[in-house]
Amino acid sequence: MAKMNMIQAINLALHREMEGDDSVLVMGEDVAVNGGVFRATEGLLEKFGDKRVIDTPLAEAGIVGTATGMAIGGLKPVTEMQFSGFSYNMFHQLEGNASRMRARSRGQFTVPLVIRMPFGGGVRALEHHSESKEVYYAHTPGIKVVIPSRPANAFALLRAAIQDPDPVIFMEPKRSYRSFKGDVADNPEPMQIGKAEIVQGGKDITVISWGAMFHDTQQVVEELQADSDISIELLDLLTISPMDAVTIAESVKKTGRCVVVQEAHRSFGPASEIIAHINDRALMYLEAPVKRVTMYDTTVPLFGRELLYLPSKGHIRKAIQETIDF
Amino acid sequence: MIVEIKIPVIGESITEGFIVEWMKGDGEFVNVDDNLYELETDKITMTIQSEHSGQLKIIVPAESEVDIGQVVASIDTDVQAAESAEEKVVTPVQNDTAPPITPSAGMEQVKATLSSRDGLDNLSPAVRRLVVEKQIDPTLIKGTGKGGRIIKDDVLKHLENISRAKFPAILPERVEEMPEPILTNKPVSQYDISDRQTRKPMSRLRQRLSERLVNAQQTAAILTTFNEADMSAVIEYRKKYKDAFLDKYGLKLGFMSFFVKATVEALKRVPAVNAQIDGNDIVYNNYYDIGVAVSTDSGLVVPVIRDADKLSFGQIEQAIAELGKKARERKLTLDDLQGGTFTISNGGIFGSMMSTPILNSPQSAILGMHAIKNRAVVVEPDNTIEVRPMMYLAVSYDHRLIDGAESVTFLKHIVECLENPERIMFEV
Repeated sequence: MAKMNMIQAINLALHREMEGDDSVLVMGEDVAVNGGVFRATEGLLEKFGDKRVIDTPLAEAGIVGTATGMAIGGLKPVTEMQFSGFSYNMFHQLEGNASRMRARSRGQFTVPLVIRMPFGGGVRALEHHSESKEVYYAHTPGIKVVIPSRPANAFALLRAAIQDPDPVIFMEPKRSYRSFKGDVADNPEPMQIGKAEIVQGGKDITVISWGAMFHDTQQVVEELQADSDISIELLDLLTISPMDAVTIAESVKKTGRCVVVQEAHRSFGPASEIIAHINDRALMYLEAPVKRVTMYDTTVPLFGRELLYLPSKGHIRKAIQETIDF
Repeated sequence: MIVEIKIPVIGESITEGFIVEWMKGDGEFVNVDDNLYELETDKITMTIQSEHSGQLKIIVPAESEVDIGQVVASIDTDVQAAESAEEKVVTPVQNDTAPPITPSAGMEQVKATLSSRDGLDNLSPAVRRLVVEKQIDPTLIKGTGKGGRIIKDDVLKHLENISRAKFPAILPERVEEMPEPILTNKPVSQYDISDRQTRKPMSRLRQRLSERLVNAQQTAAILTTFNEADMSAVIEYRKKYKDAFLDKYGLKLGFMSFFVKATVEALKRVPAVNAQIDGNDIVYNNYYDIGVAVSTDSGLVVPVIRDADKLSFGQIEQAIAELGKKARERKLTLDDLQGGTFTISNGGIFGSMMSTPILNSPQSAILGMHAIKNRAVVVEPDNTIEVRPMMYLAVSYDHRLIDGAESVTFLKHIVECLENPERIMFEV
């Protein structure tokens, strides 16, 4: 058991996977000599050499296109997009090739490719560095989208993503990279992609969140429970796609109320999808409409206004209170 | 959601079937792909799997005749595994302790109440579901939610109060509704079972089989020609290549591949044997789909090896192994059985010396294999007497379109291919 932050957990997961599986390799901009702009790939070049830790040109489409070919050929490339805002340059390779290869080849080929990317706001960065656009990828069949929230699940889920036979977008909430530490067991239980985690059981309301927002949500939940007798069930979604509709619905059936907290833009986001699943599976158990706490439908403003557009703890608290009192 | 379980479309000529047994009980929880019931039809007996998970409600009991497309059960997909088990235990208890306020009132009445009263249209879905399920008049419930709205907790508390109060007057009424248990010594079975006879209903497969066999006997002019084959060469080849073959295919090199290959060669030579009568026409088949009769618990089935002329020995053995496994596991589909052009029946595995097989109509001929026995035979050219492993072979054929010369040539060529298997290789 060791205490570490999320970036250390990610780095450790890469070390472990590269030690255990010779077909795993890392490629991206500044990942080798510099060890990554966030230091996620630190020490890999020295340990595994430049055949397995590759600095690429500034060409995201080239990175993912090359990695797709490698993956079809049997390697397990772990690529890094320096920021999620740069990842749109590789969208054609991912959407047009990697995501479709399994279906197009009738299962003959799969693409065991991981694309890591830091995302999300709250670090006073530019607009392209601060967005939460997980739905771009989640909306595409053939791709899995994973967002960890803590060092332990970042460690376990990145390892699961690397061993997954299909393309996995691994979105790292960079606000949580170094903001806190958590325990990572030496040999933790493997985690499964596609499963939400019930972090805390409760009976009055289900609150669902993921990524960096999960921490704000968890703090609000703790505060609310300290000064009222509301019993809150807290879910960490962890995988955006495929979404764990069963766990969500079962929880809502029990509590009858639900609030979803996302950092992504309001419209067409994962929260909408969660609510659709609740309609499909648990409508007749609802005591109140499901509320969303989200970012606004605007382009991310300059960082001076950053704290105005991000969902705040006040927003979350109000939404939970209103849903309970409906 | 309630999903209907319908008898599936099995094949174009099958319009009805028979449910042999339900593998899941009424009210039991089923998972996707669980075996639901065994369906017997004219041509095939198969096990039907569930496409949904949920609580099963059987509508048509076992041992019933059913039509294709008929609804025989439903699955309540809202019920989860644990819940259904829980419900089984909990529901009767609730009925005892908390009888509905108005047992005569059905769901309809509650729904009507809900829609007719003022001020009730702001019930949440959860409360609506509860009051309908538990048959409660919501106007009797005191709401504690915002603005006096009834919330789920209010309904549950109300239910608790009722169960404490109880309504003993209603209980005797309910008891009277129950039928008295009848105890008699009458046999449960519909059949008169004595120790001298055992009567069992014929399976549909066997019923259909008898129809087809009798039909073949009545319509075709069946004649059988015999011959014998010295199996030394085949046995020699099997011995020589059995290990190599096992290594490559994971299967034993059997006799059947030789017979299928020899048959295909003979069929090519005598096309009439591979033909069939259709009205006033003779249809010559230019493909070689060879049926292999397989005996199963419920009767004889004849799965078909497709395009046997294009298969190697190994592929034929694989096809036979696969079809045999499917037959034993009752997983054969109608596609596996339809459209053969010729059939091979092996009575030899049971030790038969000689037989006259019946045609598998509309096919025009069938080859019967028999047991291999060491016999004293006169071997040319020196007319010495030697012990050789011999098999009698029979071909029954429809004399309406196959002449004696053709059938004899056909069988003779099979014999030659078996005695000199290299003829198969050179196709001579």
